[in-house]
Amino acid sequence: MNNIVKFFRSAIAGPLAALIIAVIIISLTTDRFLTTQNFINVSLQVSTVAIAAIGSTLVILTAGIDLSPGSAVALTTCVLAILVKNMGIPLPVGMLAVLIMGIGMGLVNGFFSTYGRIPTFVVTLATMSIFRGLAFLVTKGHPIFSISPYLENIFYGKILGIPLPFLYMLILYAITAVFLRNTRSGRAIYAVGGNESAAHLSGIHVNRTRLLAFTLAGLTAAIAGVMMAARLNSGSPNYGVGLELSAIAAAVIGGASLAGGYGNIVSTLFGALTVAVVQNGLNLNAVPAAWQNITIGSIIILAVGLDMWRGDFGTNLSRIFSFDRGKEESQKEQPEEEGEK
Amino acid sequence: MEYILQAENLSKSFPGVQAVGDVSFSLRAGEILALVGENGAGKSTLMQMLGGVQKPEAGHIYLKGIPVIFSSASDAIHAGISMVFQELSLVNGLSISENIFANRQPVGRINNIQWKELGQRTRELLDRFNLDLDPMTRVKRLTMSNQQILEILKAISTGPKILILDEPTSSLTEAETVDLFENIQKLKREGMSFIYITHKLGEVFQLADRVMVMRDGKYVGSRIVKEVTEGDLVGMMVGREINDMYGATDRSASSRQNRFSIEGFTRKGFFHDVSFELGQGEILGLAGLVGAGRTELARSIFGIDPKDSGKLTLDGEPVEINSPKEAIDQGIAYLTEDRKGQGLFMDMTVLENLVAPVLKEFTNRFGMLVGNKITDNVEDRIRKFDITTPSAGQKVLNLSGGNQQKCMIAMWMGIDPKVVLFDEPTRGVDVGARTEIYHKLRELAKEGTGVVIISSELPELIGICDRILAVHQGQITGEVFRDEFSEELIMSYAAGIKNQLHH
Repeated sequence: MNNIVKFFRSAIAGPLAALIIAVIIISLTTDRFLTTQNFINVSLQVSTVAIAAIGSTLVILTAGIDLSPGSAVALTTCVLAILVKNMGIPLPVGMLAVLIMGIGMGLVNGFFSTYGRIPTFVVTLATMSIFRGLAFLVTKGHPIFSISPYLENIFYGKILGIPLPFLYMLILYAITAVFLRNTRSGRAIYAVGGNESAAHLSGIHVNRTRLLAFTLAGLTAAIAGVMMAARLNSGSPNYGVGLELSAIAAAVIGGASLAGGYGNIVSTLFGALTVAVVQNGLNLNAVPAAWQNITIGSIIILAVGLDMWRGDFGTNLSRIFSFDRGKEESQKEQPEEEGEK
Repeated sequence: MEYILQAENLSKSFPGVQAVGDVSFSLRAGEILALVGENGAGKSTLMQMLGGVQKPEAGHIYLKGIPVIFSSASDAIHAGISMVFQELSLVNGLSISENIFANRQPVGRINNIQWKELGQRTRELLDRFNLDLDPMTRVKRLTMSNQQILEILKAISTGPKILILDEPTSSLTEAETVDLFENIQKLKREGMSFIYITHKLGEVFQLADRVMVMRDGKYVGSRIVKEVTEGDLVGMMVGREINDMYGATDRSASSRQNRFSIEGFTRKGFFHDVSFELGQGEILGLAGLVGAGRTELARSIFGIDPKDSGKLTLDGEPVEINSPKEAIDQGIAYLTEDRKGQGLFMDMTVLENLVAPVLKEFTNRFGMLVGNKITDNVEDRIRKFDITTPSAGQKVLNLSGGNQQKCMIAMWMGIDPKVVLFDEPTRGVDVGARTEIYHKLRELAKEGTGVVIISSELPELIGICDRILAVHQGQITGEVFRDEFSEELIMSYAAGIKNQLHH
């Protein structure tokens, strides 16, 4: 019984429940949803945003925000196209170069928002504009097609029937989960976001921790950029528009607090999947794009709202499940409720 | 006895103030040195220099005779000086063990955190303080006093030779304070040295071997505790004699008219069936332990929190209050215990704070604020309430605790209240400002305002109140009039040992 209560109180429960509910509702509305081909489609769609959402979550955990990944993705696709197609650099070298560039973009964001003491929202609002501008500059505004015949292979292949992008995504999420839970740097990210001065007094390098989060966010944006380029085998300054907002939405639906310190990477994955599944369901039902936007927005309100109201809901639920645990234990719950408010 | 720590000519200034000027002192091994002084005397700044949080502008620190320079808190911790800060420095979203061992988690071969060992080491520390808590409990679920103890555990966990405690008992109950003192004595026997900052002079005599006094950033002197009286210390702190701290009560008050009363106030889980009457010009105290429900009661009266049932009467008329706005409109003021968090706009100026609840009065018929009128009024009130500030344009956050408190009083007196609910009127306020605040409260009462004071300090309630109600677990357990006031009697009601109402 205790485990059930624990699970309902855990951070993962809400986002997972949302995903399951979305899957059930959509599968009732159309029989084209629960098909292998459709799952492959969804997994291809979700992987780019979900990978960028890793970085968004890391930055949000440190009480920051990153608005630049959409533009970073566009710049990555353009630079990769130019390096490989126009300059003839081998694909692996080109990919390595753009990943390093991603780290560089993250460092720029991180540097200005820590040592430069400019709020993260402002810094990344500026770099969102700058990265997009650079993408237009280097391509002179024209998309570059057919980068390399090999590029598509890293996207459209399968291992054990699982599409590669989905696999990359799962691996990156697993690495991030272990990093956040089992390393000092990972815990420092929570500490810095939860209480900056306490973190400082505990000997944590606050600026270095924030810089690390941004750097990793730059890297995941670049990986998402490579995926985007591979999917369409092209680079364009118009790719990735609005991707940063989808990534933030995934983190927020997953329960990450924009105030920092609270959040969970696995929940972000559920958040991203929920958005992708809902979008897919609306597509299958031929719902116009306008309504899709409205629906996604409503889900964000609902998800965060439910999280806010869960305090009462979770308490009631735990009462239901604790009826057989004796009076003493239910009294112990009391201070916990107060703590929630 | 050898000196473990010596400070020589330490100085530090902030824009506009010399916080610490040329202070030298020394700490013996295995000694508890109390550090007292009014707010703004420079105690915290001095300790922050020892703890590596602030850098001294001049002077030297010697540890066992060897000069040291700290550029961060972790340097100091490494050298064996740990500090427990006045403001809680915990991360709410993380567990007890992660807070204690922040950035020092035991790690394995590939730098992976060893959660099991982390839990065990936390449990050992918790056991030492007889705390039955799960190391994985998140800090936000802990009570204030447990959080305070956690701060201390965090500092001890580094195995320091010197532990600096900055007002550690401000949110602890009596029993927890006793526990803490026992633990300090235990650690002292194990050879740890302590510097203990406090405002409660009683604690100096309970705990310390030696006491050092600071005033206006300067070292005033240090004395062996056994050879000094409380009066001596107050004299050293204030630099002058304080007579008539609480002022004289208004004896004519016995035949007061009823100003305000509550009946049957209940909020499930916080307080139950609370009723009292408050006369015109009466000062009524609510005594009780931390967590007895007094603050929650005041908040419900003022309409911040909901109540399940209860009636309010003001000057004989029943009134309905469901929000702070309605309370203010009725002439009820609530001065919070959480001055920084809820009472004042810390980043705004004195002027902006003082007019905040009464902006309507300074608006012309076009809805615009009238600048001159505001300035005159504010200057007037700064004088009336003796707020020491360079100008009305000074940010409140740059004022001392006492002056901030006076600002909050001046701010609320702007609404000309009929009833004032005052939660911990002198928390974090120095002796000088305290006296002024007590005298202001007396003046207010003389004008007919009913005053309710919630305080954890019994001497304060006994000094200032006409009548005291003891609250225990959300219920009134005793009513004591001025001529029967005694700490023992009131405590026995507040602790639930005696009960007048339910035998």
